[in-house]
Amino acid sequence: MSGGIAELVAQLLAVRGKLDAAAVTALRARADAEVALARLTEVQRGSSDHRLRAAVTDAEVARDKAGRYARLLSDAAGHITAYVNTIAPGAAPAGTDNAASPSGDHLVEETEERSRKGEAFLRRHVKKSDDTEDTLKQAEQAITTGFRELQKGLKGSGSSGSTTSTAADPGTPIDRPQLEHPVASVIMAAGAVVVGFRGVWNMVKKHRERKRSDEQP
Amino acid sequence: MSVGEVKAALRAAIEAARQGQRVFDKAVSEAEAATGAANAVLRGSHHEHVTNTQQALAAAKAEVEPTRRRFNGTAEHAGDYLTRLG
Repeated sequence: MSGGIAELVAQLLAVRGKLDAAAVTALRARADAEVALARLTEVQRGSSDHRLRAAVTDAEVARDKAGRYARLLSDAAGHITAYVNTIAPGAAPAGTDNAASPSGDHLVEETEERSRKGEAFLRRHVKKSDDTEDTLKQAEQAITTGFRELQKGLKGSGSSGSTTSTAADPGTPIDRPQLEHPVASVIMAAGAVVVGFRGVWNMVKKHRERKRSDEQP
Repeated sequence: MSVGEVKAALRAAIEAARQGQRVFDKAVSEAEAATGAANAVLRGSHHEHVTNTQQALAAAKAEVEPTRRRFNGTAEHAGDYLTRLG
């Protein structure tokens, strides 16, 4: 790679990292809208006030739009990855972009299985790793060094990853103690950032669908 | 739900909407900084991936104001209802 191309690639990768970080921040905003919506929906049972209805509609749209914003930023990051790989093949391997490694996807799936509180998890943990590129780099290092430990932790803490959702009683959140494990939580948060937007998005989306179906009378 | 519980839920909703608004604004400043850098680096290229990048960023930008309005609307409307409850 010539010096000019190398510099260009470095700049593009920096931009990509920033876009991914912004997408994760937008997802946090989306989670806030989801919280607001949940509270308003509680209140709305038994009221047909037009102000309340307007608040509910706004919260729904805010949630959807914040999600769309995050997705578009992530798409842009994905196109930058594609461009980098065009001008310097192999220069942008699966890392902070959409092209998550299979093991990364697997990690996210495991997290989904174990996290019925997906958004609370995001709010508590992704928050810590989304501020700067430096943090992102630290997160990358954390995931590299901590991935094995996490896998060990996940395997040791319950059912194997291949089980489909065991009909857990919603009243007894048996998953929570595992999530609260400090090492696992931090590494999973790093994983959420490193694996990239798609995994996080799926996690939030699945959680929402689950939550919606839970809330149906 | 008692009136007290309704009011508490409304206050929580308003706080979440305001927080969402702040966090969204942070996402927007991060994205704007990244977009500025992207435009500077990619200027002059008409490669398909570059065009796609720019289109996605433009589409994202178009969502900013409508999204802000909805976060604000959530808090405002919930606040109006809370006021009506006394």
